[in-house]
Amino acid sequence: MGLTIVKMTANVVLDAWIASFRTLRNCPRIFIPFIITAFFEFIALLLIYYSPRQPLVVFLGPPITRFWGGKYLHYPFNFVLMPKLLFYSQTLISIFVGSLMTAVAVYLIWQSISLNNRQRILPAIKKTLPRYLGVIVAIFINLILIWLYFKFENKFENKLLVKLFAENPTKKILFIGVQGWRQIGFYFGILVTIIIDTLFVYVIPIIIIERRSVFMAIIRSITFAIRNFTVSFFIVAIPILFYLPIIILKGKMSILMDKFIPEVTLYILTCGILLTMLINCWITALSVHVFITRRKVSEVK
Amino acid sequence: MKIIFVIILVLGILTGCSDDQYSAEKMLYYAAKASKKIYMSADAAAPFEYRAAVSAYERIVERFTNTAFEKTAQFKIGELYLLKKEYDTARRELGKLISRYPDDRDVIVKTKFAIAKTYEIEGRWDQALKEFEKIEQNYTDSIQAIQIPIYIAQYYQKQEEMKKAALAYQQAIEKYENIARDNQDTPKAYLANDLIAACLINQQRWEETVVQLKKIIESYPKIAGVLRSAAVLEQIYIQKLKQPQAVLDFYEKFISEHKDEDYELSKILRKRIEKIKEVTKT
Repeated sequence: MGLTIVKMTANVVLDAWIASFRTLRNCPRIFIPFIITAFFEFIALLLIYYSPRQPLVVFLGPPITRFWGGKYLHYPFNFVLMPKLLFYSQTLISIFVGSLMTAVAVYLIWQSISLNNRQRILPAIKKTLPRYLGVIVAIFINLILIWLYFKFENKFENKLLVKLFAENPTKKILFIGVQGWRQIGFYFGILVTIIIDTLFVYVIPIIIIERRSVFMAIIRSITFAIRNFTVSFFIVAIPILFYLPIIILKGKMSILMDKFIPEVTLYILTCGILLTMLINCWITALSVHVFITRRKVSEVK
Repeated sequence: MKIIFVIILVLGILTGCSDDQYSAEKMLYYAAKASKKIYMSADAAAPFEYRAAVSAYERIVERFTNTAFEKTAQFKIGELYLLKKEYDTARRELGKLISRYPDDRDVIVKTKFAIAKTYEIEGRWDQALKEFEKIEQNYTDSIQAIQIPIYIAQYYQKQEEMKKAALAYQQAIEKYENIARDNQDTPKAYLANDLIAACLINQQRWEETVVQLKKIIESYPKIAGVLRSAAVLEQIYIQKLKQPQAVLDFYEKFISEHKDEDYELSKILRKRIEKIKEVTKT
């Protein structure tokens, strides 16, 4: 019985992958919204990279000095701050640009699959613009939940680890030392992020396709994802796993900067932007396919 | 695509070709990286590594004339030749700073001090001593000049010429006492008193050292460096004189005498009292 469910889930996921690749191949303009988001992120990265130099230092120097210190306007310390600044920029871009672009992509994919209708970008933007505010709120809530988890997890982990290991930092608990438990916490954090994203992965498709309000869409997405949890989890988790090397490299940035050149930070972050573009495109295509297919199945039932 | 190209081109033109501070910092970083192995082990470095490091600094000197980066780079070139044991070349390279910046007292004193040290490292102590004495006479207000008396005493101590060392320390202490007296309540007086303490520590004259350190703490409670004096006082009382109660008494007296003044030092000393009591109990 269990094996049958696993096989069925694998088939559904595989079908969704094949269908989404076919859709992307047949309608490559679906990439354009994600290219636009990546473009904004790349511009943000360039501005951050050039922030210690004239003329940008005149505008960007004071806030950087105020919040992080003047040290980060000098080579090579500017590369140490770069990932953090890009993260903040990407968060803002994700909320105000990425949300709309994802909605446009959902619309294009939906039109392509359901109505065999290949829309152009500008008409698609006009169609999705009325839903812009709802989509922003959806992305914002998704990000807030992840942020709240990490805020709580950080405090809890630090207090627990101090309590268990303060007297003897070399002690082991269940054969694992303090660094081992931090690693486990790190990977658990990734798992929780994937689960939250899984529950929210259908929100934008529901807002665009079923034209529901944002809060109804969130509730429907969560219930839909729970009902189709394994499929939903894998269509989010597998693409995100491709980003894991970037996460690991970001964690070792200072070692890499010292071993090679400080500019390695810039190259890793650029690769991260390109990979994020592809992963978001892939997850969006998969989620629309699964939603349309499984929605029909439950309607028939 | 065109927009991306234009943006990158504009940013590149505005920033990439400029001889700005960032470019200089970048070149200094790579020059320091090129010379890292030489500083770690000068004898193990190959000639091509020396050439590469010197060239890296020479490029900075050529491109950033009349800047602090040029001065730093020229200094490093002198240091590299010193490490390579090419003493005359080291002095010639350092001398370029004096000819290029004849009106910059800071640069001249630092360079002359470095040149004196090249004689010392070369084994020509008499010549080095002459240079040090010239600095003391001609640049009395500089930090380097103030440190020369103890530097000379430490040299004799390292060479195990104990009579000369004792005499040099005595002369150093007298000079510093004069400086402290003539510049009361100034940072210069603090430095002079600190150097007196250093002279006494080097000679292991512990009783006199603790008296001097207490004087520094009482006279300059607001200066950041006084925390170091307190740490040294603790170490000497606990480890050398085996009198931990004496340092506790001094701290408690200081705190009660200054309870109306909101000194950061008082807060730190309160924590130190608890720590010392804990340690001495165990």
